[in-house]
Parts: sequence; C-alpha cells; structure tokens
Amino acid sequence: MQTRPFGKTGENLPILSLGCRRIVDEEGCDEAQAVAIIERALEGGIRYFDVAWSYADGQAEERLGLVSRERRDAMWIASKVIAGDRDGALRQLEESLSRLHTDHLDEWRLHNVSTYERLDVVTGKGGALEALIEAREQGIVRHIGITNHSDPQVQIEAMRRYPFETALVTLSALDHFIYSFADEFLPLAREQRVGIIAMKALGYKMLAHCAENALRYVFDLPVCTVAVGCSSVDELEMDLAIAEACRPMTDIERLDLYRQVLPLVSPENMPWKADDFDNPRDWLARDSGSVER
Amino acid sequence: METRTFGQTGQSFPILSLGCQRLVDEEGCSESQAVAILERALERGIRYFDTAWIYSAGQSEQRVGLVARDRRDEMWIATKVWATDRDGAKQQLEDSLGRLQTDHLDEWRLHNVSTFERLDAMTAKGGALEALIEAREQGVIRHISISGHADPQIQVEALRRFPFDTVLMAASVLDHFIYSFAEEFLPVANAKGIGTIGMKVIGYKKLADYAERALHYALSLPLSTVIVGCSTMEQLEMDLAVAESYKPMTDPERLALFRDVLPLVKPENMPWKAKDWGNPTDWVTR
Repeated sequence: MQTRPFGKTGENLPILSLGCRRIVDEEGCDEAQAVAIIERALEGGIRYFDVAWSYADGQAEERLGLVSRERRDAMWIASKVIAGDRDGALRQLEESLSRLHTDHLDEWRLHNVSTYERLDVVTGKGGALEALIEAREQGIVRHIGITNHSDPQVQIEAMRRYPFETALVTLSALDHFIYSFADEFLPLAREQRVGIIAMKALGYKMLAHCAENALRYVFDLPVCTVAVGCSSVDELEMDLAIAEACRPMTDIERLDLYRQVLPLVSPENMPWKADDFDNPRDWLARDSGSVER
Repeated sequence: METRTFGQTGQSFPILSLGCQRLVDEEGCSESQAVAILERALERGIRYFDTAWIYSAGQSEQRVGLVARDRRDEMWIATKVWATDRDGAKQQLEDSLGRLQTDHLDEWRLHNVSTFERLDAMTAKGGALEALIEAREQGVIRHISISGHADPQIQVEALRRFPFDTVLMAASVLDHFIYSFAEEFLPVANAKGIGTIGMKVIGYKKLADYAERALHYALSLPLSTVIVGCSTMEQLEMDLAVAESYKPMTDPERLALFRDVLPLVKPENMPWKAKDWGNPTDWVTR
C-alpha cells in the first residue's frame, strides 16, 4: 500500500487507516470479530488506529486495547478527548491509557471542535488544550491533534490559536459540495505541513454503493491517510483491496462521481454539517463574510 | 463596488471588469454601441479592460482604442499576444499599440497557453516571452501575464518557469467540476501573491439562464477581479447590478447553483476544456 509523510511527525503512514468507532457491540460487532478486524488490519499493512474516549462508553478503546496489549509497537494509536476542561481531559487520558493497555498515545486530539464556542472552551484558560500540552511535555502523548466535522473556518481559527500537528477532518465526496475542508482548509494545512487524516470517507455508509470511487476520491486529496470505519472483516477486506489497487482518478472519473453523489448532498444525509446533528433539517449556518479561502 | 488588491502591481480594482471580445460587429455590437458600453463601464467605476490582438481581426482593440484615445489614464488596458515567437510577438505588440492608440500597455499576456507544447514554444529561446520581457524593460508594457483555459497544471508549470505578474483563467461555475483552476491553481497563485483574473464566467452564454448567480459564484472566488464580456448595455447593467450588490455567496446558495448547472458540464458546452475546441465531443485528457 502507498505510504505518505504524516505532517512534520517524521512518520510515513499507509493511505488506509482503521477507524475503530464501529468495532463495538452496538454495530453488531462482537469482541472476537473486533480483534479479528484489528489483526487483519495489521496483517494488511495498516498502522494507524483512530479511536475516542467517548465511543460506545469506552468499548472501542477497550477492544483496541485487547490487541495493543500485545502489539503496541506495530500500532500508531490516536485517541480523542471530549472534555472541554483541563482536569476532565486529564481524567479521560487516564481512562484511555488504561483501556488501551498502554502508557502512551502516539496522538491525542481534541474531539469534534466544530464550533467557535467549543473552540473557545478547549483553548481557553483551564481548557482541555492545556492537558494535551502538559501530557506531551511529560511524554505521555507524542503529538497533539484536533478534530472538526462541520466548519473549516473554525479549523482555520484553531490553527491560528495553536499549531496543532495533526487534524482529522470530514473529506468525503459529499463534503466536496458544502463547507469543504478540501477547498478551504487543505491549502493552509499543506502550507503549514499539518498531518491530515480524512474521515467520513463513505459518509456513514451513504456512499457504500460507490465505495471504490468514493475512497479513490479521498485518497487523491492532499491528505496523509484516510480512516475508514468498519464492523466486519469483509468490509475491511474491501477497503484494503481498494487501497492496494488505488490509482489516481482522472477529472473525468471524478466528474462522474460528482454526478452520482450530488443528489445525496443534503443535511439529512450529512448530519455532521447540519444545524442540529440529531435532527438534521437545515445546513449549519455560518457568516459567509467570515470565509477565507 | 468592492475593490481588491491586484497581486503585487500596487493596484486595486473593482471586482467587476470588462471583457472586450464581444464589443464587435460579429456579436451584433456596432461601433457606437461599443463606445457607449466602454464609457458606461468607466462611468460606473470599471477600470480594467481586457482585449486581445486576435479578437475579430483587431476590431475589439480598435474599439477600446476609440475610448482609450481620450481616457487612457482612467483605464488599465490588458491585451494578449497570439504569436509564439519573439519576432511575431513584437509585430503584434506594434499592431496592438496602434489600434489601442496608446504608447504603452498596463499588462500584456501570452494568449491561451492551454497545452504544454504552446507553453514550451512561448517560453523557449526566441519565444514570445522574450518579447514580453524586453517590452517591460523598455517600459512599453508594465506587467507580464499569461492566460489559460483548459488545464490548470499548465499555469502551475508556467509559474515555475517564469514569475508572471498575473494570470487570466477560466473560472465559471461549470469550470468548478473539471480541471478546476479554483482548486488546482488559485491556492498556488494566492500563496505567491500574484494577480488573478477570472473569465468564461457566463460560459459563452451557456449559463445565460443563470447569469446573475453564475457571476455571483465567480465574484465569490478568491480572484482579484472577474472580466465579463458583453455586447449590449443591458448585459453590462445586469453585471454591474450583481457586482454592486455583491456579498460572498453562502455555501447553501452555491450548492443550489451546483445542482442547477451540473447537467450542463459537458464538453459541448465547455469547448475550452474539450480535446478539440472546434468539435468538442470529448474532454481534453491530461
């Protein structure tokens, strides 16, 4: 599988990574299946595993821990903190480390910083960012990252406030059409050599019917790696096969994909860019005067 | 009208500029109409006028010249050279200056550099670029430019070869979807701080049904200015009304426009991105 440099971290990572949110009971994935998925991922050359403190009350981290207990050195583990304050963040770090059976994280990131309000909280005095910085100074985490689902302008503002080393952002073909991180944020990220991890590549399964081209679309973006979630070994096998065979898409192929997916671009299908994630009827509103490209 | 900085030229221009290709008989625009359009444009604040040696065998430049003769100081005049060799380019410069009734150009550009072959010819020893550089040294022209219609990677490569002051590029909403200058070239140009001019905004009239929104889309791109061609006063008035009331397009507005125009994204409707401009059945390949 093709590998690419991961920002300024000095690492090279395969273009396909494993999103671990769905290796949990509520997605119909039991413990044995979860372990099989992770082991198959390692065998298939995947090194990067993305998880979060909040996923399935910790079950996603616990399952990743079942494998990292034995194979920690083969894995790059990135977890996320949902707490907005420093002290809450440090407690979540303890829990994440313990569930993951490890004494360090390769990357720890602020989870879902998609609004200015949340950005203000996490970067304010006594905010979660202080915990990330302290943990890095202590050597418990190696790199500091941030996640944003909704608004690339919030991401640009985040970079102005702190030089995050990595960012996990939504970059599916659906996301091309509205509040596009590819359009608004990736040029800045490239300039500042931020390590970029793409997510929502299959748009919560909305793009499952055109998975190959949907993944090729994201691999062609100027990102380091694409975290794709799965809840069965079969799904993983498909993702691996696509990543291994991946060749650049022509603009003509990409135009066909755009024609296929544009009818699906709606707040209902993209709740992460809606005004209300749980009741997605309208797009998130933002002040167009604030947009920098 | 909003103004924006024009690269490192020290100038700022209104977001709307006038494309002069269509101020000609073959577009049903008489000499007096052309002069009236140019004068109205100036009266309403437009300062940037784009033309080319090749347009209508010189008629476009001649008509700009009818106004430039008296109002040269109010106008930024950009014209283009078609010849790929130095000597041919110098002859065309003489023609352009004569038709425009001026002794200098604010900007002179290599016209339609849309293939690597043409880029090679123009930037080679004895190529047209040498004529541009010499003319700038002599003070006959002030800034050096290039235009591209088809493949943004050619303009990226052009900037690697020579520090062009400005670039004119196809930037309609149709162009968003294929070989996109907005996506592939503007980030590079803006990082270098060069002047950028958008064209083909109404897609040679293919977007006439969506003209106001199509112009609104282009004005919202991170370009320095946008040239819009017109052959009637009514078209100019509509363009001015859109530009004067300009606020950046929101993403939901842009999405609605994308849905409306995506069916029009075909080589037949975008010959400048087709393999054969005269018979546009397939996209250019790269």
